[in-house]
Amino acid sequence: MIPPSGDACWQRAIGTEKDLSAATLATKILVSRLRREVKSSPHAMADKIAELRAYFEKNGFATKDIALF
Amino acid sequence: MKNAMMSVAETTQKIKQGAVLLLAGSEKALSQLPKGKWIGGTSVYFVTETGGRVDHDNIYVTEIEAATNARAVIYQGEDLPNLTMNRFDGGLTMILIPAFSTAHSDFAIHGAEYSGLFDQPLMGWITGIHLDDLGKATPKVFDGATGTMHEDGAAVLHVALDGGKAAELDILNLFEQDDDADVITFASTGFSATRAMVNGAEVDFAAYVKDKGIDTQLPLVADYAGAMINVSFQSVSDERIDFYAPVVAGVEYRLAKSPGAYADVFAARATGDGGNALSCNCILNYLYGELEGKTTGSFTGPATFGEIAYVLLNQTLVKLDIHAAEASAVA
Repeated sequence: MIPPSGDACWQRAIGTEKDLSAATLATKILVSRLRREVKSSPHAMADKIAELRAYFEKNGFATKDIALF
Repeated sequence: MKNAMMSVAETTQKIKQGAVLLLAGSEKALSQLPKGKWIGGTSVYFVTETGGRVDHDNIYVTEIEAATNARAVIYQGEDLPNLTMNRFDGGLTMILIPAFSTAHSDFAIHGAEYSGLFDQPLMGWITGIHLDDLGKATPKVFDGATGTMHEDGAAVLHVALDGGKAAELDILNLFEQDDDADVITFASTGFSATRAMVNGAEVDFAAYVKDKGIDTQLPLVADYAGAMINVSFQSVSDERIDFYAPVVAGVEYRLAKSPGAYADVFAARATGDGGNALSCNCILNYLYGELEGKTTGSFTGPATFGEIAYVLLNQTLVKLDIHAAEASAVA
């Protein structure tokens, strides 16, 4: 089950520097890029959350990573 | 997956049997192969079970036994971002790009933004040549479907997997950030830099590297949410620093700590069944770690001019394993 876009986990994933060492490599690299993009354009947070949610919707192998956010 | 060094004749036989293959070898060796379900890239440096070696005659063959179908495609120029399109659902994608090509720099700088890049494993490497041939020859990639050779563009092999199988892509990087080292950032993304911010102060980066006596065999390391991502130094001139991968604007880098004797540390940390994994390691680790003639555990493969695990990496081992889908889901 992917949390809704309003869930605080997405803000924590993208808006903080939380370590995700236990996540899959794809999640780490993607989240890292999204964090950079939000830092340079804070108004883009909603779009980046949508991108991250879409990634998890398509990639069942990575959904365990959401628990790390 | 099955890995083996094979002669041209043995590789030809495999291709004729219809096997799905990823190949690394010299231009001369790869040029002799028939059409089939394969892509190949030039490399003459290999890490094998018997030690690192240079081989111009044989081919490093990885057979993807779990493949149920495969499609080789060359993506060039403006078409490069489309390499994430038309993949097999639940499959994986292999990619080879010639070093020093336009595709190399385009992928390195923009690849992380390609649509759907992270939706399935993308693994491969930057193809190279013998270092003695720099300036005399160019790295190549081969499209087995058409039997063509290219010095620019990405050779991509989209692979469909048996429904019960899944691919898992990961890296092994022996380098970590030195917590005592300066924090370095760059204002723009690119393969070279003249200026940098060091602990918040702008500096002439080439002068900084020289004045500090920085060991440029150690990479700059960035922390990507827990993944250590290297950028290796290529050259230091009076005016600028060149890198083997782009530094990314806004990312915080620190110089790496020395891992110690590379071959020994690598063998100790490269645990697992490397014999059934597809892997590649960096030519810089091969050279700086003096791997020629040394064994480094069960992870074997070409020593490359850059590694690809979704994005371009330096001085890093990339490994791809295929196993039961249930195992991947809980890994």
